[in-house]
Amino acid sequence: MKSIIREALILFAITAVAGVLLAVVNEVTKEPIEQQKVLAVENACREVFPEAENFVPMELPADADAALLADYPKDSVEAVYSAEDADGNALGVVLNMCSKEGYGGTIRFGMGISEDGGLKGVSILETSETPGLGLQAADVLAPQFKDRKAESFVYVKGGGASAENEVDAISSATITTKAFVNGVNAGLEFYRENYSK
Amino acid sequence: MSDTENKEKTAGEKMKETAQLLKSVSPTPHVRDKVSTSYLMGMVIAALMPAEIYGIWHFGPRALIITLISIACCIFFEWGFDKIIKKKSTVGDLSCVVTGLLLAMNLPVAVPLWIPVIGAFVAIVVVKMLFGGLGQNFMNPALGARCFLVLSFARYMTDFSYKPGWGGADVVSSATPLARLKAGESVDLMQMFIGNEGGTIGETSAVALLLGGVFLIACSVITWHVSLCYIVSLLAFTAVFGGRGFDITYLGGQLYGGGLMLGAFFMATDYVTRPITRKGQVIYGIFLGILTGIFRVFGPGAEGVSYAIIIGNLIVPLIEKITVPRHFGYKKPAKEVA
Amino acid sequence: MEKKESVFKPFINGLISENPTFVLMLGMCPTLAVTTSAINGLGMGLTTTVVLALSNVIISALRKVIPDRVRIPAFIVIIASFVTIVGQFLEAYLPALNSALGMFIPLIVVNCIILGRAEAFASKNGMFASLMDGLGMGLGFTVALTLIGCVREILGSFSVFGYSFREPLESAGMAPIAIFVMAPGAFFVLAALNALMSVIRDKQIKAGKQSKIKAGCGSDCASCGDDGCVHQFYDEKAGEKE
Repeated sequence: MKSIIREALILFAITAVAGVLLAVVNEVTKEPIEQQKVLAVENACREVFPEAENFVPMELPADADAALLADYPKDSVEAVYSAEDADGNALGVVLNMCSKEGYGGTIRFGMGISEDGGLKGVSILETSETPGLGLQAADVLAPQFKDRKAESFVYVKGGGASAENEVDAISSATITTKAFVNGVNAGLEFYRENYSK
Repeated sequence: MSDTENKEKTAGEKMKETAQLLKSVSPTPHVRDKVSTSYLMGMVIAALMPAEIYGIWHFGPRALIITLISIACCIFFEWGFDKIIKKKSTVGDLSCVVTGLLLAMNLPVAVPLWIPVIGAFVAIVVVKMLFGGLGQNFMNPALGARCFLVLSFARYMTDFSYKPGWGGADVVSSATPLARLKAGESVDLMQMFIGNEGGTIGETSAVALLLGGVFLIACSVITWHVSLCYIVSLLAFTAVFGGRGFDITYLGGQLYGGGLMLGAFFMATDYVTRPITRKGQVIYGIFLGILTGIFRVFGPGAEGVSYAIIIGNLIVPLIEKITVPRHFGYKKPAKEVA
Repeated sequence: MEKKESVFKPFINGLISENPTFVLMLGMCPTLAVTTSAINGLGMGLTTTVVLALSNVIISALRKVIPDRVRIPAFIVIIASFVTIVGQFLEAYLPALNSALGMFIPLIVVNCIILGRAEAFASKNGMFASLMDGLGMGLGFTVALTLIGCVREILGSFSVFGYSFREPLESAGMAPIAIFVMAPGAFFVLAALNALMSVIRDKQIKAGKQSKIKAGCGSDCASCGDDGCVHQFYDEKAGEKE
C-alpha cells in the first residue's frame, strides 16, 4: 500500500514538472506560431494576388455553399480574404476553394479575383493527384489562369487553346483538369454573386 | 540414396522429406510425360503470336521494336542475374521470353524506348529472380512490371495515341473503348473484336487472343477453368452492377475491351501464380472476375485487369490452403457437441 | 586509450553496429512514411535525435528515482513532453519542415527507437553514456533516413536535397520513376539498402574480419530483458572491473 502511494507520488511529480515545462514552452512559442500562421496565409494569398499588400479575412456569406450547390455541387468556398493595397483600398478578393471531384480526392486551391471580375492568379494549396498526371496541375494548369478574364473557362484537349476562355488540359488527366477548371468557374460565379458591384 | 542411409533417417525426417516432395507435385493422378518447361513456354509463345502479329500490323513497326527490346532485355537480365549469383543459366526454359513478350504486349505503342528496359528489369530481377526464379515468384512478372510502370510513368502508360498500320501518317489519339464505355459513349463491337482500336500492343484484337487461348486449351497447355470463370464472373458482375443491365454493346465492350482476353488466357493462367487444384482455379477465376468488375465499374479508371490479377496472385496461397485435396477415404471429424 | 574508446562505444554502436533502421529494424513507420526526399529524412532524423538524446539523459538521470512498476508511464510522459516541446519549436521557427513532416512529429512519441532505448539503455546506464547512446542511435537513424530519402528523391523526382537535375534529363526523354516517391518505393529502397548492408557484412565476415555491422536480433528491445544486445556493455564493463 505504501509503495503504491510512493509510486503514484513520483509519477505525479514527473507529470507535474512536465506539465509546467510544457506550459512555459507553450507561452514562449505562442506568439511565433501565430505569426507563422498569418505569414503562411499571407504568402499563399500573395501568390495569387501579387499586387495587394494586406489580406483581411472576411466573413463567409451564410448561404455561400447553397448558392454554389446548384451549378457546382462538388465545389465549395472555404475562406475569403479581402485583398487591399497599402492604404486599405480594396483591390479584390482571394478565395480558398475546395473541389471534391479530383482523381485522388479533394483539391484545395486559392484564387485571386480583382474588382473587375478578372482572375489574378490561381495556386494549388493541397492536392493528392497522381504524380506525373494530375499532379502536374500546379505546373501546367495553374499558370494558365494568370491575369485572365472570362465568364467561365473551358478546357481544350490535345493543346491549342486560343480563345480567351480556353485553357489547355493536362494530357491524360482529364478528371483533374475538369475538377480544377470547374473549381475556378465556381469561384468566379461565387464572386459575381456575392462581391461583384 | 542407399538403404543404409535411409535407415538412419528418423521417421520425422522422412515425413518432412515427403512433405517437401509433395509441395512440388500436382494433385493426383500423376501422369508422366516428356513435357518440359521450354516446350510449354514455346507453346505459349506460339499462342501469343496471332495477337502479337496483329499488334505489329495494327500499330506499325514501333510495336515490333518495343517487343524486341523487351524480350532482349528480359533475356539479358535473366542471364546477367544468373551470372552474378553464379547460378546455372535459366534462360533456356524460355520463360523469360514469354515474360518479355507479355510485357511488350502490355505497353502502349507510344512509350519511350527505355520503358521496356526498366519494365524488363523489374519483371525479371525484382519480381522473379530475387524471389528465387521461375516457380518461386509470387506474382506474374510481366504484370508486376506493368503495374510498376503504370504507377511510375502514368503519363506514358496511359497515352494510347498511335499511327495506324505501316506508313500511316495521321496520329490517332482517341480514348480506349473501355474509357469511352465508362464515359457513356458507344463502341463498335465488331471493330473491337477484330482489334481495330486503341490500347496496348497486344490487347486490342479479341479474336487473335481468343484463337491463341483456344489453341492452348486444345493442346492442354492450360485448362479452361481459370479463363472461363474469370470471363463469366466479370460479365455477370458488370451485368448486375454496371448500371446498363443486359446491354449487349456494354457487356460485349467489357468482354472484348481492355486486357481481359490477354489477362484471362495468358496471364491469369500462369502456372506459377495460379492455384494448383481445379477447385482452387474456379475460386481464383471468380475472384479475378469480381475484382476486375469492381475496378472497372466503381474505380476511377476504366481498366482493372492487371491490378486484379496481381492481387489475385497474392491470395493464391490462401486459396490453396482452403482447397487442399483430401485423401481418399478421409472423413471430416464430427463436430463436437457442446 | 582504452577508456576513451569505451566512452564513444555507445555512439559508434548506434551509428553502425546496431543501426536502428538497418540492423535493429526499429522505427519503421517514420522510415517508410517521411523519406520522400532527403531533406525530409534529414529533418525527421535530426528531430528524433534531439528527442532521443534529451529523453535518454533525463531518463538516465531519473533512473534511480523512477520505481520499476511505473517506469513505462514515466518514460512516456518524459518522451511525450520532449516531443511536444520540439514540435512547438519547429512550428514556431521552422514551419516549412513542420508542414513537410506533418503528423509524424507528434508520432515520434510512439517511435519504438525512443522507448526502446529508454528501456534498454538509458534506464540502466549513466547519463553520459545515455547521451552518447541517444546521439549515436539518433544519428544512425538520421543517416539511414537521409540515405533512403536521397535514393527515393534521386529516382523519384530527379533531385538531391531539393537541387533538381530534372531539366536536362527530361529534355533527353527520361522521366522520374514516380513510384519511388510513393509508398511502395519506400519498401523497395529500404529492402535494397538492407540487402547492401548484408552484402557488406557477409564480405567482411568471409574475409575473416569481425564486421562492425551486427545481425539484427529479431526481437524488440523493450521486451528483450537482460540478455539482449545492450547487455554486452554491462558484461564488458563487468569484465573490466574484475
